[in-house]
Amino acid sequence: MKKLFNSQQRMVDDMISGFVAAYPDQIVKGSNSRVVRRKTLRTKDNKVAVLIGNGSGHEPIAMGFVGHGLLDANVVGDVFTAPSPDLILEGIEEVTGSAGAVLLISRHEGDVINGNAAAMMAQDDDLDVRPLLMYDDISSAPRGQEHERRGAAGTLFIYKILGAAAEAGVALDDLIVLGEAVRARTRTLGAAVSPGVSPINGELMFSLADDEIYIGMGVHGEPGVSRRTVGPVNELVAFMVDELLADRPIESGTPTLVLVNGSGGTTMMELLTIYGEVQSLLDGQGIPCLSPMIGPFSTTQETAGFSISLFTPTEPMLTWWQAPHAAPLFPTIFGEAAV
Amino acid sequence: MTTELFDDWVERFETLEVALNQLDAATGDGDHGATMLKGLRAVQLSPEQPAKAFRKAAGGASGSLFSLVIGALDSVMRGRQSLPEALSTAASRITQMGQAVAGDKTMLDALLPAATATTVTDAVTAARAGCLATQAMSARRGRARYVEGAGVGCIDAGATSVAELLEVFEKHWQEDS
Repeated sequence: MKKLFNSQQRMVDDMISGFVAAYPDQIVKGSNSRVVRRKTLRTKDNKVAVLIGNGSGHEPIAMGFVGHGLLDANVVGDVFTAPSPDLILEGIEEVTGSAGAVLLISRHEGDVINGNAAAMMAQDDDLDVRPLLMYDDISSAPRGQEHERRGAAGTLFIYKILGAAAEAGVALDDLIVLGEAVRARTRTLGAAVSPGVSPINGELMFSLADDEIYIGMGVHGEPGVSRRTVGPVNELVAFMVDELLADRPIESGTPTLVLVNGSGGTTMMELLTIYGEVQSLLDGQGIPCLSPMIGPFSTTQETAGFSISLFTPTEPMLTWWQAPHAAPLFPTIFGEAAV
Repeated sequence: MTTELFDDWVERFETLEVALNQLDAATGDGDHGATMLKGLRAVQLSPEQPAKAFRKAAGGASGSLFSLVIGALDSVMRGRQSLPEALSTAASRITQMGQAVAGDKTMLDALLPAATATTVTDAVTAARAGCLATQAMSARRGRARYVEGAGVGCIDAGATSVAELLEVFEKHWQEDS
């Protein structure tokens, strides 16, 4: 395996050390070095904490999104492995004050099991912690079974909007309602072009013929659910946008936020091309695009591939989305006229 | 002695690590062997309770779910519970936490049949048979469910680990004699 690590044992801790060294005014390690948190917590001042535990190997999500206006903490598991309930509990204890906490959970088996267990343990200790399940990947369960779907890149809308709302003093109950509303308005579909290499075992994470693309690739390199032959990207994007709009139709005239997420091995050249196709397809249906988010935010090592997320924010959601933040690896969000 | 059991678990899973990773790779992210070994090494070395040591070190769904199997076998070794009691309790908690049932192509397909056996030897045989039966099943839980074909044709890695844990356990367990 050609990867630039010191050793398998240290790879996650070395990454965290590098991140903390790079942004010492914003980010520190918690009492457990796998808890990455803001240097200055405001959760003692009646601010609801927003945090997530997840497996590493997908950076910049979620560690890079800790900072003012976004997450209070990220509990960093081993590569592609949800942190233990015990470790998530340490993260909760580290940042939760009297206003309580939203524990975000991207819906994957280990994250759900361990996140729910940690929330229960915290509640037993009289901390007001509410888990919020995030799911957006339309390839993982059919319409009508949305709650069975897994979390993908579209969960970023929830991170940012809840992070900004919590910063502004929105209370825990209202944050949960807001998060569920963002979730209900978000859909994602992904495609994989070629596999990344697992840092755990050095193996390619799936196999795919040279002329094939997987639709519905998982964020851990889980093989996809259907295949297509490689062709001009506009055909692939048209297929994916059709699927997204069939799953959740968007009325003409509804301002829409597009996220084109790269899986780690797809170039900005390609991602911009894909965005152009998405926007022209939506234009064709009279759907105006807000300033988009394009880049590798939720990655799976050097996997080549991308996902398209469509989200139709309400006016307050858009305000939270565009609110300033200081998370080192979350992009600048450009504002625009209100909806 | 439980410490010898722990040593043998580590030894067995060292030899199985790559094979379990490969079984897992067919339907998941290919780290099941590595995760089990990480957890079992902590069981071997940590001063904490075996189940907790496993859960913290392994992480992931496997950490929480397999810690219940480790804890069950540890309590049987210490004479606190009978094997069927311990395995049944573990299986029902795993069902609850993982929202899986028999036939979903998970570790439960080895554990549930094992829990109905009256002797350790029968439990191992039942777990092995249950594990092989996962080959024909399509996954409805875990990452495998999201895969093309839902993993039909592949033996479930988690079910395999249950059978292996039990088989090593059997060597250390003297039936009421």
